[in-house]
Amino acid sequence: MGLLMAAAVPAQAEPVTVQFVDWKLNDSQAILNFYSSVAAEFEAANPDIRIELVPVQWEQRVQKFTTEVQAGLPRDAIRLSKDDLVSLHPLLEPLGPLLVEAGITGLVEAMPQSIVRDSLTFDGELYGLVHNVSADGLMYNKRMFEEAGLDPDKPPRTWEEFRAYAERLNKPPQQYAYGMFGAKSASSARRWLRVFWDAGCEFIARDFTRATFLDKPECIAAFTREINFATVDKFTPPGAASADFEFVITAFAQRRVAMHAGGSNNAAIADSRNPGILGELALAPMPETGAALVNGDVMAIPKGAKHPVEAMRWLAFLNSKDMQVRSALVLNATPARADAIADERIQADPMLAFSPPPEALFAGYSTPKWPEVQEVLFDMVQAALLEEQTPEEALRDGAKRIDAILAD
Amino acid sequence: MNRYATVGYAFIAPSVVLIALTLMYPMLEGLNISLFEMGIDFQRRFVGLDNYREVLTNPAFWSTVWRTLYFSLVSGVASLALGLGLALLLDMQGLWFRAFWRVLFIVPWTISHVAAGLSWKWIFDSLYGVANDTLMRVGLIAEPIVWLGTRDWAMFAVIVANVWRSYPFVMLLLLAALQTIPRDQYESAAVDGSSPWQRFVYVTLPHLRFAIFVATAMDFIFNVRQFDLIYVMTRGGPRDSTEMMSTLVNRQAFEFFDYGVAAATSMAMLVMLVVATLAYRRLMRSASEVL
Repeated sequence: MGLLMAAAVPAQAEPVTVQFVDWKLNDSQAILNFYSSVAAEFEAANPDIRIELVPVQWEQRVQKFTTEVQAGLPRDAIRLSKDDLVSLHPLLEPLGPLLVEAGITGLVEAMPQSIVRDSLTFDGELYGLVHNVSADGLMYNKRMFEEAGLDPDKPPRTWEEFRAYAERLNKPPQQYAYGMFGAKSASSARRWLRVFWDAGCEFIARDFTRATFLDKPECIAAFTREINFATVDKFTPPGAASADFEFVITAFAQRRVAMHAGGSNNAAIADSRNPGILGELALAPMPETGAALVNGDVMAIPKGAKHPVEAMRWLAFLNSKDMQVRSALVLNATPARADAIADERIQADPMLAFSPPPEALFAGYSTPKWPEVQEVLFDMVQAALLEEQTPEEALRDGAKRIDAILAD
Repeated sequence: MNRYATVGYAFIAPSVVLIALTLMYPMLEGLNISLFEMGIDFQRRFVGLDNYREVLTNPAFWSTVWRTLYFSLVSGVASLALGLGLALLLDMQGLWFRAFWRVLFIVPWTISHVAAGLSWKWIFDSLYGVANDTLMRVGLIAEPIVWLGTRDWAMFAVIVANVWRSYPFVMLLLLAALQTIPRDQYESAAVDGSSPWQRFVYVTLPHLRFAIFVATAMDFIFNVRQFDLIYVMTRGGPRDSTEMMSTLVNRQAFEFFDYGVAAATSMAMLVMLVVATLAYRRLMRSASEVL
């Protein structure tokens, strides 16, 4: 009798648990608390879904992700860097059918379409939702400008002006004008690509067939100018070939470096290294064109995820206008959605509202061979910074190697 | 098979199974993958020995092999010298605060490679590092050295960090061996008028022969496999100046997603380690016959 009664009462379905892997959860307690409260809000609105936040180290995110997918144990949702998608999209679920199944509309249309088209779509399928964006500008210390007799509200707009400013700011070994990123890292790569774009050059052809940075003399001149800032003008701290993000941001936070190419979140990171410095910092478009790579965080669903539709609902929640604004304020990153950028909470912060001219923004190169090409870019930069080759020799040598990689 | 042998096999069976699962399976799977072209989508296409041909005909691979050997040998010799010296110190009769020194000298071994790498990266920082500050204060250098941003200094820096991390292992093994040497042998040698150096060469060293072999062979293997410390400190740079086989494999597998080539490089690394260990064993045997 008891068994019959139990069968007659519909059993309450157990909530589905969506595992969300995110390196940002490791960045600070404030970020972890924020996403915990966001997950609680989502669960209250969606009682059939539980969110499990899974922190991962930034350095291990790709290795863990690929290993989990290969082992047949993928999580349900993941934060990746936009640049990760070039290599990793074969291990992700296409989002189009999931958006339809989850009944979500209007979300993709609210994202920046150039990023959706150039960086998130492969073979006609969408693989990620962009959560926030960042594009480098000239980040500088206004106090150091003032101390050098420069107007802090008039950052350099041409490379001639930049050089003149740098000469005033450069007081080695205590203070250097410019922080240059020469170590091997994705953050270095995007800053060096900027050098070519600013000169009106593509680094590789858009059909990914060959290196194109030797096509115009302006490209060689721009690369040489940037290298010379370190090797001839000595505007950078010694050892630019090993200068990574930590090195530059720490030197900048400690007022040992006056300027560097950085995104809006760099100011908050500098402030975490040297509390109180935030008020001294400003961000302007880089000299000449303001050319920059649009980078950002992307939310995606691993191939073979157990609960892809529920994960899609969670990602749609995270990428609603209000959530993008709120997370931008916590992460110190510019939201991706145009309506979120226009929000008064974002516009109230000049760092978060910063954006280079739209025509100066580049999406990067979406070829699976990019990691190998990027390795050659690092080698060219370091060969020139170590003065083992002239900038032009490094470029010519690099072009041959890149052509061979792309032809393979 | 007699009853005792059966019981013996039964006792070691769990360990054999465990080792087979955790060591042999990955090794065989690595060998298997090395025969395929395998990218990020994990689709396998059999290519026979093509990956090995690609690896072994690449000049960058061979320069990485020599660099790895240089790093491993220099680190190994320095660790042996430091480990042996400190083991002899800790074994000295009448050493004050022996327990304190013993704990102090072991501390580097207890610290993770990543934490050690980050610490050494800051120690060798060209703007803020303790290394430059100390050397400048004592007047040994006039200008800061760019430790991690130049070829030679970068290799020196990773070797120093690696020796600091690895000498306690050598020291512990040698200290354990030193404590097994009968004291009466030293006393007899002293009565015969031998000098401390002669006692070290003719009494201590022969007793340490096996321990030195084990310590240096294992230290060499650890050095060849060293990854975290180097990756954290230099990522193999600047250029390829600190690129080792381990960082090369990591790059091939997790940056280029060329798993087949990465597996072939790993297999080449394994063969090198086995050959080097066998050669070293033979060398030690010859040396012991001379002694």
